[in-house]
Amino acid sequence: MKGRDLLRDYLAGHLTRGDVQRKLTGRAKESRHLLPIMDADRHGRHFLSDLQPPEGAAERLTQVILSPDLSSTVFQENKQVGRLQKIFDLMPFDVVGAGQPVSKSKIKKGKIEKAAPAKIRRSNTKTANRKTTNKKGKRK
Amino acid sequence: MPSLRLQGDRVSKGHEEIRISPDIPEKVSEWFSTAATADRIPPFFVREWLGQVLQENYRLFYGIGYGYFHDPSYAEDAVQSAALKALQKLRQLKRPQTVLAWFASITRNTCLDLLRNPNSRAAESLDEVSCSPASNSIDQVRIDWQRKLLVEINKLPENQAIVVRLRFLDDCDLGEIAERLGLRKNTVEVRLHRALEKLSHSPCLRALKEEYL
Repeated sequence: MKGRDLLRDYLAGHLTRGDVQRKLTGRAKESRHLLPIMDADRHGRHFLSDLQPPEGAAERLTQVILSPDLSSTVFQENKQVGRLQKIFDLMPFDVVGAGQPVSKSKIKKGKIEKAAPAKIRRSNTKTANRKTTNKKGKRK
Repeated sequence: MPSLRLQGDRVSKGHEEIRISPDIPEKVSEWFSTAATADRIPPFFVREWLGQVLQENYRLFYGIGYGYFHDPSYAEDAVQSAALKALQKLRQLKRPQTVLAWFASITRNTCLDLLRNPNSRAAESLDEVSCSPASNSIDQVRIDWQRKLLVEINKLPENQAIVVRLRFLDDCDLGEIAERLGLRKNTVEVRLHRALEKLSHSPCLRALKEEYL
């Protein structure tokens, strides 16, 4: 008997698993790896064939899809704007010196005076914070 | 090697003719061909078609949700949320023939999102449901096995999982699965074989076999 016929008989329930394994010899031995696959298929179909959804669930789903007020709930623009974005939107654009950039050639020609960088005065922190008293509170 | 010839929605391979698309109204296919420029809200006839397709295959999608949440009401909620998501993104569906596989992916992703979100009702209740003591009735044992099987199926890659779901839940043969998913029969055969091989190695199926053989 060929391996295929044996497996068919096993599927039909005419043979037990042990019988099939015993009879699958020679070349047909290669078909043995199909037995667990066939078992998985049979058990899966047996257990899941009677899985039932709640009554009327499919109809409720169709109602959700066909409901006329769907556009207002599902398709409305609900683009969320962050808090920082809101602040920036409210603020007027008043950054100093944010005009057109001045070209270098114009500066060279002297048409526009190059603004001298403002000097940053160094504060004399050393003198200002110098300790005038020692630990005991006496003046040096 | 036999040549492939495409005729409308049919492919003929030698003498054998394989139908590769489910019935789609002409109006709906037209809308999908211009969907990129169409209105954001799908028209009523497209929604009607989608509703009909989902209703006919509801067990398939419910099975996905039930595998994740182990609770009928949460599974139903998940499928409804997935349907709303699908409506929003319907214009992005390139081939309406593959609507089943497309919606199955959306349902799966929706379930995963709901589980990941710590504030969602479903995520909170999952522990309670799975830890609830099982009664000794035969039905409860069967329900437990169903849950375990669905969990194992959900662990498979989506393209294999949907083939197995159609096989287990709707008892479809290879031709029917190919027709419903818009795939070729050979592709379905390979995917089903790989999926069943993986499932047969899973501890759930092994335990099931030991108990019932």
